[in-house]
Amino acid sequence: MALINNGPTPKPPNNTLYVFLALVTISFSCLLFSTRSFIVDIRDVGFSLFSGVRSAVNGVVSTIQQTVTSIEELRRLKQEYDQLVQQLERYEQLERSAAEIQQENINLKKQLNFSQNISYRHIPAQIIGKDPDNLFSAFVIDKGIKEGIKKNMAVIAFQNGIQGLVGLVVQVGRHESMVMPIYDHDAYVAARFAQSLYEGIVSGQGDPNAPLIMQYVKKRAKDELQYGDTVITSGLGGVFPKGIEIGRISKIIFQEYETSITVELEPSIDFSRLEYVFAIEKSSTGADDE
Amino acid sequence: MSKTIGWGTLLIIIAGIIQSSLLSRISIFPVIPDIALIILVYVAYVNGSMTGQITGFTSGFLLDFLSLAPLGFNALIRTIIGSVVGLIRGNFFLDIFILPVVLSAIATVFKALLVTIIHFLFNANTPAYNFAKSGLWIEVTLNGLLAPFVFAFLKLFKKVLTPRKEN
Repeated sequence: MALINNGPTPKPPNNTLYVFLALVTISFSCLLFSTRSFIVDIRDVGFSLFSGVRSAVNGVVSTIQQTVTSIEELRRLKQEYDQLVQQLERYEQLERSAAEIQQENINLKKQLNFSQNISYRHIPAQIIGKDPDNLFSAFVIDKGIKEGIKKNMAVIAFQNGIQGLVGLVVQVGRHESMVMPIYDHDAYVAARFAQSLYEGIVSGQGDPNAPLIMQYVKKRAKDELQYGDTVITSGLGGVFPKGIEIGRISKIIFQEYETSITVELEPSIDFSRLEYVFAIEKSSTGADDE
Repeated sequence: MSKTIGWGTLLIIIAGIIQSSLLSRISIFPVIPDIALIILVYVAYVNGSMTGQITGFTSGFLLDFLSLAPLGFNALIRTIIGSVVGLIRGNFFLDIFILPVVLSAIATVFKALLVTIIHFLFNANTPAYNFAKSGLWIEVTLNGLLAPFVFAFLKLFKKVLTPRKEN
């Protein structure tokens, strides 16, 4: 890197300054309006313009990945096939008893009044991209308006047999939607403890590896809280359906001079290995609309 | 100039889509390099303030649609970066390694500073970089390391990305 001595640097002409001021004013005004949520339609139109391009890139990448792994996959499948043939013989013997157990399970569910549980209409989706900017933690799913996704739908996922809350649909394109995860700075979830039923507000810290923070928990809850207790959505505010697991208590912060307790939660969902999610709508049965 | 702005914006948007769909998958760290910024730095340094700021504005505006960022966030930041980088046009010899690394690294730190200023101006309604955490410095390093390759790639488009008299 060498300094070029071509005499003094020529001053930019005045119109460069005027254009600069005009562009800064326009973008600043847009930022001013959009942070106050006035410009919603323009964003949706712009998002829709790119809708599909990201899917296409994702498709190409997936195809290449699948091709590379297919040979290894075939070898593994052959081994699995042989094992499965052996297992099938064993399962045929177990089939009769399994049918009995299944019937028993159905009966038990009826007895436990499981029918009153909330049932959600859900739309399965795959995560196809993340926010291109490190400052924002949103991710993109491959379903949009055409597939029935609507703004403010809750997004959940199943991991290790747990149905956990992932986030909220914040923007919808024709074939893509943007989801704000619960660990985002701007995410707030009305929550309660599953055991003691005390309520609070769960928010994120912008980092998937950082714990979630539950605030505004009443001080009298202190004696009833234990590490590992489950926190679920309360359904208050009408944004998230109630009863979806959010996380478990990992730390209780109690300060004498504060009016409420703050609790740190370990999220139920491991966001680093999240691939498939479900956008859910509240049940039409009314169970959630109490 | 309009041709350069058009091509520059197009390349930046393609970079944004690649960052979003490809680099977010294969990144070793939970940090995505800002290739769109490196392209803007190249376009601004080679063409000067006027082209730099208009390219920054148009590409930033379109990047806002790809992101959860409030509309105008990237437009404002990239307009200023394009303008400032364009001011030093021609002051240093554009070699293949050192200047791309230095320019891109400084531009990333400058971006973080602008983000922080906007964060305070808008009463914390926009996010901010944490200068004490490794995330920003990993991004600075990644951008610096990638810059020579991106600059070399962009030289393939010399015909459309540089002023006519230099062609």
